Amino acid sequence: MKVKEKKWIRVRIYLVAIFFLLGLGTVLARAYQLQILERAHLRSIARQGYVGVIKLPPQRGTIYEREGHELALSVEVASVYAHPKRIEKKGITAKKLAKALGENPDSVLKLLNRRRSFVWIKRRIPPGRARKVMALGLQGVGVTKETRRFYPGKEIAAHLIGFVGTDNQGLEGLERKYDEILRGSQYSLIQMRDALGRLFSVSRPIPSGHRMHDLRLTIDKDIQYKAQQALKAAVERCGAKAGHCIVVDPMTGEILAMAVVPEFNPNSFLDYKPYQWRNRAITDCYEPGSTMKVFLLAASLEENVVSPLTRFDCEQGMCQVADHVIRDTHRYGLLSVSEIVVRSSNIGAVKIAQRLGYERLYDYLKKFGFGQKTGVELIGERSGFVRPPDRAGPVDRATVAFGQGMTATSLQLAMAMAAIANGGRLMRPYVVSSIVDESGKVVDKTYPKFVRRVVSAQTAAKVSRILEGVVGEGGTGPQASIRGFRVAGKTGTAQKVDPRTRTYSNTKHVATFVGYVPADRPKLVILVMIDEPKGIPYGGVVAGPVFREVGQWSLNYLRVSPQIRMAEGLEAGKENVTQRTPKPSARAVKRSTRSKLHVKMGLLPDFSGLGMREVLCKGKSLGLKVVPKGTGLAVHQEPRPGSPLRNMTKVIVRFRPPTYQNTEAMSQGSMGKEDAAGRLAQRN
Amino acid sequence: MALKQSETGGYDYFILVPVIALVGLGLVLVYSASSHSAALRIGDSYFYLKRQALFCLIGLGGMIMAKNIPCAVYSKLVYPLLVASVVLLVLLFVPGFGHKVGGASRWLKVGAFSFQPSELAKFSLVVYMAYSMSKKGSNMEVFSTGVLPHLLVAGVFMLLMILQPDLGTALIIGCWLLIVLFVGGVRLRHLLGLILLSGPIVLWLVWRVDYRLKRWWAFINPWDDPRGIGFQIVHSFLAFGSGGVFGAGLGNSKQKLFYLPEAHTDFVFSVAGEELGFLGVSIIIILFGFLIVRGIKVALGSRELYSSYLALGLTCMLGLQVLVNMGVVMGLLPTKGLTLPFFSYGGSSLVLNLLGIGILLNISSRA
Repeated sequence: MKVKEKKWIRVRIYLVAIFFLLGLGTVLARAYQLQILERAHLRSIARQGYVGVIKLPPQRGTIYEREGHELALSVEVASVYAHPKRIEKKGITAKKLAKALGENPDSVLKLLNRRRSFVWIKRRIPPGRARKVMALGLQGVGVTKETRRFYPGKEIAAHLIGFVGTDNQGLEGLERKYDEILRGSQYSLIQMRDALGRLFSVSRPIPSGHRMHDLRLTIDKDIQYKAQQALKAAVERCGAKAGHCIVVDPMTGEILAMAVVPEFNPNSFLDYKPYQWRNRAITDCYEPGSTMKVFLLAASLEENVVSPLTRFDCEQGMCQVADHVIRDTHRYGLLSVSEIVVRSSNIGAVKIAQRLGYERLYDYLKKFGFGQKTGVELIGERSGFVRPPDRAGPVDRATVAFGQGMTATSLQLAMAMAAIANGGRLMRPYVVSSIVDESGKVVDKTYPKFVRRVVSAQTAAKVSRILEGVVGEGGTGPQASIRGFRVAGKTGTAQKVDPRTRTYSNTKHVATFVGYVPADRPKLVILVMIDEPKGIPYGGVVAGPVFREVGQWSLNYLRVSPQIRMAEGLEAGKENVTQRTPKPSARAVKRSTRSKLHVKMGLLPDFSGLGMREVLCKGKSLGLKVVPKGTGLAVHQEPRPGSPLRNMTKVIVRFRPPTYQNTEAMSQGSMGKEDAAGRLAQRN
Repeated sequence: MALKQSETGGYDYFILVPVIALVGLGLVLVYSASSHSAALRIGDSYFYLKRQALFCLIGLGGMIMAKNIPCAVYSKLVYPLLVASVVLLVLLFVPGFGHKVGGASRWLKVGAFSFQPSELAKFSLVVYMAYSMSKKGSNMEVFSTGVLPHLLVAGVFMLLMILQPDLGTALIIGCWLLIVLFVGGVRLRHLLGLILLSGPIVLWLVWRVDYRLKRWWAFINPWDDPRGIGFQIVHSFLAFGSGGVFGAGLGNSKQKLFYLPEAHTDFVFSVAGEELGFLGVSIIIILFGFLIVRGIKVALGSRELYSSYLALGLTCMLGLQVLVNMGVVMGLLPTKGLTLPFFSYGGSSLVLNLLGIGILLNISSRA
């Protein structure tokens, strides 16, 4: 009998064939689903499953200061690891390892007996020991190079640089901000595990494609050191809570130094409290106080609402604004605008501000960079606060004139002052000058960035002239004067708000001095801020000496040649410390002394501010032919004061009547306007 | 008939070519799947390849021999074969003979090799059923003659297998028996009755044993516990998924690196999926499909009922194992310890499968 002859058998066999074809079809469809539709999903899960990566701490780029000295570098150290599951004779291995490492064999054996695929036997060992271990050639034991971060300058620029954690990850400061860039090749061991968790494949350390970069900063380690040392001494001297000192190049916005006290050592950062790590110069906002009068002055001059000679009644030290009484430290009557700034009269400032109008003042403060971040490449920068006109009451509108009712960071204040110093241009501050790759090629270079023009060069020059008076006789900050250089600056003594009573404290102050030197071609803007000094709180007294110390040292270090009024600076400085309000007679005496000193040294004296008769007499006595030009008081002379008298035969002296229209011309002279203003003040 | 051939005629290339292709591919995959673990555990990465190649040669020899032996010979050997199978299956329970692997005694140790009696049992059952059903003719419609004796013989085998324990093979035999009885002319209500009766037994068998229940849950939702009970199947999925369309390339499977348990035996198809991709998987499925269709065609074209049933029985046994193994590795069926014919490492399976192909070739050549 044949199958063919039974029809029902044939049908049943066909059905069986169909069953198998359907079955295989289902399997094929399932394969399509798994391998094509769910492919990406399954593949990613698979990778996670079998690949285990042990990352070794990566190398890290070096941070250099501007001269190429290292501020943060990585020191290579060796570390010994083992794969316990790949070691057969654990006892012998442990004994040999322990001998090479100078360890206890039992503790090594304990590590090798751990049920793990990877253990560190000993980390960060000297290279000699590492070579010994490698010479043993033990199975399942390896040596890898690790790096350890080292800050050779210890406290130097610690707040700026920050520090790294145990696995070399940036935790604070530039180390954190530039973590990605500094971080070098990440070496990893790729290991695969089987279903029972056993390790069956461990690769050699594989570098990632990432490239390591070095940072070059604008910081000068010597200036930074000087700033830190001087600031620390001052903070200790007056028992203050904290302090900042910032040194900036006003032309470029480069930060040359940024010192913060209290200091910390990043090599052992864990010994300090987190608040000590904070870079207060950018993270702390405070009411800046009288230093703000500089920007009020600049705004008012730029808007032409006052001239340096415009006079205001300072109401004998008391003035009512709405329900608030504003006081001055001294009682003044009529003061010119320059005197208001030089002597730091709050009432005068309020009156200037009232004439300017709060809206315009607010606009200028914004233009000077207040109330917004400076854009410096540091983390944690705060923006400070200036009250917008629509939310400012009458008292707020008045007090901002002397820096109350608004907040700023030290860096903002320094950069705003830099804008006055460089002729009215606000610059973006920066600390990283370039990023360099491993081959030494510059990958990214920071160029000075001009943010905006705030005031005209003429206005800035006028302000500068007035600010020079602050460190002179009769100013609030003679302690900041520097021998041989013309200094412009402003003091600030702000009361702090007591958090408990919510009113201004009479005992807690912020003392500041911010200024630049040399005043006519500024090289350095220096800000000094001292938080809660005990005793005399005045910015000039507390912060001024730090400015002088840092400025003097830095100018010498940078080989900026002194201007010639060396003797005068010395004299003025000394006298002002002891005698804060010199009498007119004293001024006259001083002037003659100064001239005599110049003559004694064989140098041309400064004629500015003198009448034509006096100039002609003096010139005659020196054996010089005086060529007078114009009338009034001397404003300019050629050759300039301080030039050697030898081989000099004639001097051209320009005279101008002391009027408002001529302020600008006067301001080009060396001491003209200040003296003129002084005279006007004396007459009142 | 597609090919008219003489009594001692040539080979049916529609069977021979796919088989050679599958066996060749199987050898490569066994090597790829086993080399890592063999190198690590045995110290010779070629260990499984060498042995499988040897089995392959024996199997091909057996195939050529079977091709040339008239298939009527087997009908005379039916009872000795059955007895030998039962004896060997019982021997597994005798201490000293059974070779336990993972809690189950499925192998008899013979020198350096081990033999799997269930493979012989399947073969003897195929021969027995062909012989018995062709002899009974129209009596197949009667329960006492058509169903009962076959059920008893197969039942003894299945029982011995369940005791090993090897529920998978027992269930394969059960399904195979239903298909063969269906073709043999058993009444549909008898078959239905059988299915209804065996259902609760299977359920009870699954319920009774903890790991079978777990496997069931792993089948229902493998992703619930991918590190525990779902481990095998999840890694099989991952292997298939990693393969994609074109595969990772021969030798590049990651899942075979100890992730897939039994990568060179039960889960060799997952390695194929990862290394050869959807393309390779489709080709293997199509080759098997071709072989099955061809085997059924041989059964249809055979001159006598006995050889027809023999061809059908062999084809169905092969086809069922292929379907179940593929279904398991792709998560369509609960996990069973079943091998993929021609692919999975294992001498007994390969040799007896090739022997079966030889018989198919013989029947084809005499059609």
